[in-house]
Amino acid sequence: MTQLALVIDLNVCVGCHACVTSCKEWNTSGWAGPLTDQRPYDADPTGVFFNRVQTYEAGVFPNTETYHFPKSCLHCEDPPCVPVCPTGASYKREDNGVVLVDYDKCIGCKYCSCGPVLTAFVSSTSSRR
Amino acid sequence: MQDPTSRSDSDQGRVEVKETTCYMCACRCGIRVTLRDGEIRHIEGNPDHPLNKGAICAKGSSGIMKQYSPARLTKPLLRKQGAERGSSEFEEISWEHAFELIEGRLSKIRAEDPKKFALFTGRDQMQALTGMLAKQFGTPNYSAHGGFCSVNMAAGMIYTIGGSFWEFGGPDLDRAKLFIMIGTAEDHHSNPLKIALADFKRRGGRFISINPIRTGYSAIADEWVPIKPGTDGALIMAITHELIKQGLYDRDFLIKYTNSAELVVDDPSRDDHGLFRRFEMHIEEGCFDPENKLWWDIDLDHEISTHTPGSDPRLMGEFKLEDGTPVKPAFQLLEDRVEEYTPEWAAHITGIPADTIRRLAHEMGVVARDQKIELPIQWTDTWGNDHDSVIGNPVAFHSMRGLAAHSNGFQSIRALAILMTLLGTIDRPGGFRHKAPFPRPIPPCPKPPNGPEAVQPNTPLDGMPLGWPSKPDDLFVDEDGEAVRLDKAFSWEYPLSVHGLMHNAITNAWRGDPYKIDTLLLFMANMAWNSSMNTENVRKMLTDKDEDGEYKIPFLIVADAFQSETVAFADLVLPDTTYLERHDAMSMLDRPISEFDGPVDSVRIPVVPPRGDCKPFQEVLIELGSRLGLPAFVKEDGSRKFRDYPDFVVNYETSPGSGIGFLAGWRGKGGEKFLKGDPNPRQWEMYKENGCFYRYELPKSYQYMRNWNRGYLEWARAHSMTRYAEPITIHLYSEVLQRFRLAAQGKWPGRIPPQRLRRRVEENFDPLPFYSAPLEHKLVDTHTYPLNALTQRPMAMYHSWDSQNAWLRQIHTHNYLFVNPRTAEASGFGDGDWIWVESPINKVRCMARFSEAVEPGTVWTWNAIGKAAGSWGLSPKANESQKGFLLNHVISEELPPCEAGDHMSNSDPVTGQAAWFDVRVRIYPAEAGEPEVTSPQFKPQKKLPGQDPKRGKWQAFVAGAFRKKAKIQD
Repeated sequence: MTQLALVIDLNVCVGCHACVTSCKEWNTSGWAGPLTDQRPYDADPTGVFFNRVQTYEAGVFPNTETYHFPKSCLHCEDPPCVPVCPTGASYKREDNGVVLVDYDKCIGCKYCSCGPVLTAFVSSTSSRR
Repeated sequence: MQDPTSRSDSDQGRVEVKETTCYMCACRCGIRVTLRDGEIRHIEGNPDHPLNKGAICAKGSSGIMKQYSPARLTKPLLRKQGAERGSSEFEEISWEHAFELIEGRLSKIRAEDPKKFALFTGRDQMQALTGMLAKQFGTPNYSAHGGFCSVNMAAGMIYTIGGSFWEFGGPDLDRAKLFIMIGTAEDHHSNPLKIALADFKRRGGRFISINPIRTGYSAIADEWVPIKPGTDGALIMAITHELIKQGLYDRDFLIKYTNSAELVVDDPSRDDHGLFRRFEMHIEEGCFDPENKLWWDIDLDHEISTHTPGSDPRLMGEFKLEDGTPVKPAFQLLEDRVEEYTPEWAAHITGIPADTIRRLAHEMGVVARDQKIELPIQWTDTWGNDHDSVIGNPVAFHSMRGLAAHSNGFQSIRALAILMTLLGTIDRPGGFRHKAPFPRPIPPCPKPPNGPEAVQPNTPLDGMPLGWPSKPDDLFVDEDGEAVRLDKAFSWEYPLSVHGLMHNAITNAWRGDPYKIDTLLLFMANMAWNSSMNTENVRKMLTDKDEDGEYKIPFLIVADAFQSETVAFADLVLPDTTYLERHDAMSMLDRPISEFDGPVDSVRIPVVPPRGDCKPFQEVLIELGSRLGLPAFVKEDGSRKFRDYPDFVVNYETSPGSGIGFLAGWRGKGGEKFLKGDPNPRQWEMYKENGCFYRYELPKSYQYMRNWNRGYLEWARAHSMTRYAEPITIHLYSEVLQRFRLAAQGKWPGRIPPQRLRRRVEENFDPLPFYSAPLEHKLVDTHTYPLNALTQRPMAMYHSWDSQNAWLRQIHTHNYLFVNPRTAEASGFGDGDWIWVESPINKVRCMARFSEAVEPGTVWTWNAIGKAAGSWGLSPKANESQKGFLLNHVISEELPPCEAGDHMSNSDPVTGQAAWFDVRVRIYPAEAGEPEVTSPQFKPQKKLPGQDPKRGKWQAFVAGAFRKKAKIQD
């Protein structure tokens, strides 16, 4: 079976967030329905992104590393978000291994984002920076 | 649900794809905009574009939310009768009414005293046009944002190697083996650098970042070397010390291509001390460096004309010429200078261990020496020598504001350019490479006016508003040696202020020093917020009145596309378009998008119609030029010469019949010529057919060593990139600076500085780089204010533009002050606590965030995020104003009183570069019970007439259906 995957080279990720908004603009007018924003111009705006970049530091000055970590769906070979879905909205395509959510079946229970493994489908908290 | 992987939505609605140029930042990437039913479906990078090769950044991908932003202005607005300035009380007026108001006011000023009109612009990309309007009007009071951006980088490098980073040159990462980035440089320019950096790293290149903070590009550096802010010059001088001591410099390069071996008069008692010893020869009048100088020949042990075939000169030693003049080679003077700059000395200043400095120097020197590149490209130098190959020493550097925004930045950047020269990396593969129209003579030819008589009623300015002084006599001063310009550029206070000092324009106009003005026109410059220093007080100056109850700055016109903080202070608001709604030319006359291998320029062509009554500012300028009868804009009978801006771009020529205009591509009647040729009526269409850019690739033999490449220089002269084909010898030693120093010492036959400035000019116009602590560090009590405070621009935002953007503001909704935990511990507060940041002039309250990625003597924040309440189409409760803050409130635009004067700009004394990275602060916890909101706060700005009605709590963007649903008027 074909298994498509997204490869991200963290050695050259500078945390520019291009993938975050590019994904949103590409998908917001697409078949999956709009990626909505709540309080877009007010206090505490939040919205749906399929991808976020989070920034972490490791080590103590001056031996500090700064990591930018794009957090998008990895289209896992064995996706933990699929079996937990009570309505079958989360599914894995057989022909190419891509994991999708059918918004006509999704009831917003967030089970898929509760698991121990990183899940990108539900709007995650924004990065610390 | 349709499965998006199996079925595209591209057959929904009426689909169009149009190409233009991005303007979400100043990078100018090529973009493809897909429209569905006339609304933007998505914006992609244009894969065929030479600059971004298809890449697009977070900002570029969020252009949709800028286009449909609720902050957009759509109507010309006039401050209501009786309403106070700053209260956002406006009435809508027609463009005709607006033009009549401006025309009446400006024609009167022009007939009486044109300098009472001041035009300052922000990060616009049309300075060739705005500067031309100022010159034609006759006012010297014009500049763009360069004075507070990175003018030190432009001036420091152009006065040394004839070119500089960003638009005019950059690191050749395709071939470099070692790349050193010094200071924050993420935003100039971004996509091309990101692409190059990734390829460089994947090829195994080594990347060293020298920076007080580890974010952005520094995150992927192989080594991070933290440094104290403002001490880069000390580090570079110590590296230079070590390179010279170890003999790790490119001797051959220095002799042939720089003034290192040229003999300098070394006798402090003489008036020509420190100048090159020149012999008599016929010299054509021109702004190049004539070659009537001397070397000391090793074999003959005697003076000899430079570049004598077969001669090998000394780089070191001291000699007596035949006429008894004591001389030294310039290189010897550099060696003398750096002798005291040991790694141990620099370790103390920079915080970098001496061993690390030594290792960096060795690494640079050894990679340059031992990993040479040789390209089989034949070329001929200006002295007629043929070369079979081009050699490269693969060490590349990049630097921008991190070095520039300090008051010692000019000399630090001179030191960097000299380091790059010592390593033999200028316009060579793997090092630094120029981009057309650079290299240019050192300094370039255009000069500012040189006396008050250059400003005359109803007459264009005699000289360029901005130019490149090469001697004291080029300064723009009156008979007392004092400034003629409002911002005091090109005066003895800031002699080489080649981009002006916009950052002092408002303070000077308010104080009436050197004089009062009548009308100030600001274009996309947020001077009531993030583009000013001492912002809280600048806002007061804008509303301050004299004893007659009149505003001290009588009339303020603001042209902008968005409801910025500055718009609130306008008397007249002119609504500009977005980048997707207008024509633009990124011109060879200005700052084009050239590549290393040849000139490139580009255009914008509208992809959607303008909203409301928005009018591109270019059209406003053409209209005003025509109405005011400025010579370049009208025919001999006084009638209008250009229909509109596109017509102007096609038909304007720098002089009648010159064949040089704003765009270089498809010139000639049928578009058959390039760079030079008759106006082509179909030029815009031809750009459109070619993805909105024009690219000319130079023959390989013209692509390197361009300072001294005969073929290139003659080609450049023939196509008016430069006026001369003379060699552009690198100024390792700057005779230009020495001329100003001699004037300060009373040894110059021409102009001399006023007494109060003599010491300042003498000290700072050193022909060799030197290290001195930033001015503010010497003038404030650094025990009371022990910390440096910096700002950086987040990669997902540009200037103040993007808090209005519903998507980008979710990435950066408010900013923190980043503090090293040890520093915070010493000040007694914890991660996330509310704290005060206090400088000698003001204080701000904000939230702290711990970070191990900042050196303990520095605190920093993201700029551009903190906003005034109610501005930029945001709710007054938005995080940007309640939790976000602006550091500019604590940065002074003037120095404390000192010998040079009571109101000296807080700027580099050579270039007038705003020294906003020099600010010193102390930090302490806010008291219990203080409001958990940032300070200062300002009365919320009101929404303006013509802005969209309040948007709902939920927003769902679907192209083709959005505007109707959100009730956005066309």
